[in-house]
Amino acid sequence: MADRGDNSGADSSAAAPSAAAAAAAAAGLSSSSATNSKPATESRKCNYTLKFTLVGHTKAVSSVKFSPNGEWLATADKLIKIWGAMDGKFEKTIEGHKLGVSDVAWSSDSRLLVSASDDKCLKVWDLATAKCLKTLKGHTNYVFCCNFNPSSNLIVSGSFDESVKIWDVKSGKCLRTLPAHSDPVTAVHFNRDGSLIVSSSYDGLCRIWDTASGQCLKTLIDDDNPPVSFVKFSPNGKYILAATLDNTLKLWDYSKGRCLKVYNGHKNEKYCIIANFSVTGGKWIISGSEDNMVYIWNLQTKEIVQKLSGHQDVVLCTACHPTQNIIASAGLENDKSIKLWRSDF
Amino acid sequence: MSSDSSSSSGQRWCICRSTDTGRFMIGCDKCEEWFHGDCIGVTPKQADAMRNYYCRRCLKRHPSLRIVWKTADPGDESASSGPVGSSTRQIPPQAQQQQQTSSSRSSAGPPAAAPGPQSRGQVKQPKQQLQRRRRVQQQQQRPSPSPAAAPTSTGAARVQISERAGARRQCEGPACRRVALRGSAYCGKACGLERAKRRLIDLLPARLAAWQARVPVAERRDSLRLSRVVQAADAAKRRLTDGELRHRALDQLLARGRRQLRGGVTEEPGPPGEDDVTVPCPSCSQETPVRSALRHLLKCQQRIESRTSFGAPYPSQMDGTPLFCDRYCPASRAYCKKLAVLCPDHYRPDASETGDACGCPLTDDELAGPLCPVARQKCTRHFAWARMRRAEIDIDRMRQLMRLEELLFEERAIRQAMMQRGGAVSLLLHSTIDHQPGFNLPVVEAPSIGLRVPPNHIL
Repeated sequence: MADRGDNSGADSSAAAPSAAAAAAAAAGLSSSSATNSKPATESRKCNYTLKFTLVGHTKAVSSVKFSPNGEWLATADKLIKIWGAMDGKFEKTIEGHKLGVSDVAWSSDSRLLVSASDDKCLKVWDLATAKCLKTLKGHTNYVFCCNFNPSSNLIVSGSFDESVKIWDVKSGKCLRTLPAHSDPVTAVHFNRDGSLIVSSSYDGLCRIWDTASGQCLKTLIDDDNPPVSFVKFSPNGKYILAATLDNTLKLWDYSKGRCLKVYNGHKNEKYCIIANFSVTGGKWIISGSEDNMVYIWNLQTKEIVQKLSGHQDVVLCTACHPTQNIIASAGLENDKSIKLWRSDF
Repeated sequence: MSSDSSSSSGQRWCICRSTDTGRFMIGCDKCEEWFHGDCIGVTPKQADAMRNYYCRRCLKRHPSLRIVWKTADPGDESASSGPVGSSTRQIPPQAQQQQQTSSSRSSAGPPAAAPGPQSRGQVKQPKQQLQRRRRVQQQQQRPSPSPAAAPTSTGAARVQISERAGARRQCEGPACRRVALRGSAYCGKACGLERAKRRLIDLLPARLAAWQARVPVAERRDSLRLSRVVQAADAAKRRLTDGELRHRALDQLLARGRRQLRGGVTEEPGPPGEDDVTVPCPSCSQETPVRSALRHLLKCQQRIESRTSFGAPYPSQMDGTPLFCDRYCPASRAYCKKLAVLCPDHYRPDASETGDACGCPLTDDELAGPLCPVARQKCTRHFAWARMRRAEIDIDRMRQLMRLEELLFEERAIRQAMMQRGGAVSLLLHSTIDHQPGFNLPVVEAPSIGLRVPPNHIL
């Protein structure tokens, strides 16, 4: 570790202030590695290269997700297609929705999938048999986003009808409806132990809810309120990554209500582009962009470490593999392909 | 959103908070705020048709306010009230139909082209422009579809254009010069089939070769899993046959007892003080003296067991010693499916079991060691020992049967997945382009067998 008292020109990221050090731990680093190896990992850049292109979708791909056990990649347009995560080989197609699918999510045991569709319902699928186990009806408009909780007995969904609903997986009943926002809800996410839900909306607010009681615990609002297009908890549950439609990604400490980091450089003014934490190697923030590239930022220094090009259209969704340094990205209507990228760090 | 904020160049208006007043703007009659027409989705024509206009905020805050139109125009979308009651909220039906082609996430975009969010009614304008722009782009830019999907996509694009243009095109069948039918790419069925056949011949062998050249990781993983499942199933089957052998050993032990011991000896009284020791019965919590404990325990357990019945409408088919009771009960029209040796209602001591003496082995040496000589009815130390042993063996057999069933189910699931992989249709529809062939993928550890039992709690 560089000496703090050394104020010569040999400045490296080791002399980072404590807030940034805390932010580096945001991605779930253990504290020992944060103090010992932080300088080395942060100054290294990642070298993601294109490994596979998966072709097969007939419409714009709206969601890509890796399974928690690292075996599968689920991609959705109107059909949900499952591919092998390591080699990109096609596995099977899951169909059943009447209209396009906006989001798909895996359960923690990688056996179940939930999909949110424009036909106002969500469907729970069994991966092995490709059958629909439950159809969750109740929303009155397009369902935009969905997620399982870590124990995979609950599903949370956000919809264009401005509400957030919590469903029970076993019975398929809606347990709670949260009158969350005054505009379409763009993202919902559980934190690491499933006790909190964060939701974002076009009305510019990020709200944090208590799962058990349904009470709104906190509302995050910035100086101006551009529509928030995406939000998720960090892997350790202390921070929130929010994407807004003014080409900005922000990392918030939600308990203090303060914005810690701002990531710029990409283009995001129209679509709800998904952002990710990459924690398998170096700590990166990964997001798609409307200029057809995938942007990778260093989580702590906020600089762009890599821009992956190759897509022919807006890169709407990206996903990070849970154990390996693999990124999956998918393009919209003009592109319709999914690209798998690998890196050494 | 207060109107107090002002910059040096002028006051800020509208939901986009800009100072630009050069564009068309409309003012709210309640809060006196001015909005750009294109920010909130009101055209000059619509503004002309309104008697008074209230902004979205005022409409929300004061439910009594209504936007009043000069003439009742049912065709005007903004006049129709949506599900929430406010006038600008409804997504017009055209936009909804456009949604059918792709999901709302990939086609909608956000509500406004300019950075001002709020009303959903704004969705319609930028989205329609977006759709039109994209379609035009597609027509001009047709060529860069991915190589694998080349034949199908260009064919589809060509059909679209021909329909739109209305011109008659040449049939796309191989070496065919006739005119294509309206709304079709071919002059007839034969050409279409011929083209499809050639496409298959062209594409399929290459795809099959690529598929087989590198076995999918999932395939390798599944075959490993399958071999493990088969091994476990074999182990379970072996334990089942072991159960049979244990039954036979028990039979021999009983036979030896009958041979060697004639008549029953009366039991010697136990060490003094033993009569006072009591144990609580786990079923009824009574304190039972040790000497009669075993008998009491069995009676208690049977009493509780006989309260419930457990049956199925078909008799079981077992190889070897019967496991289940299988007594037919006419009342419930079912066969009793409790363990035969422990069934409280239907167990009858087998004739061959009875002998005069207890016969329980007193040491670990069961083949030649001493056996208990006390009369069977009188022996309290080894009450019903043979029956308990049989029950133990049968419980193990039952467990192995259940495990076998689960393993069979998992094996079936794996085999089905392996069979459905790499089918001709999915090979044609999908392709994976490897940009670095020759790069070795890291070896993936096959996960240990998780029982892929169907999620019963959901079904």
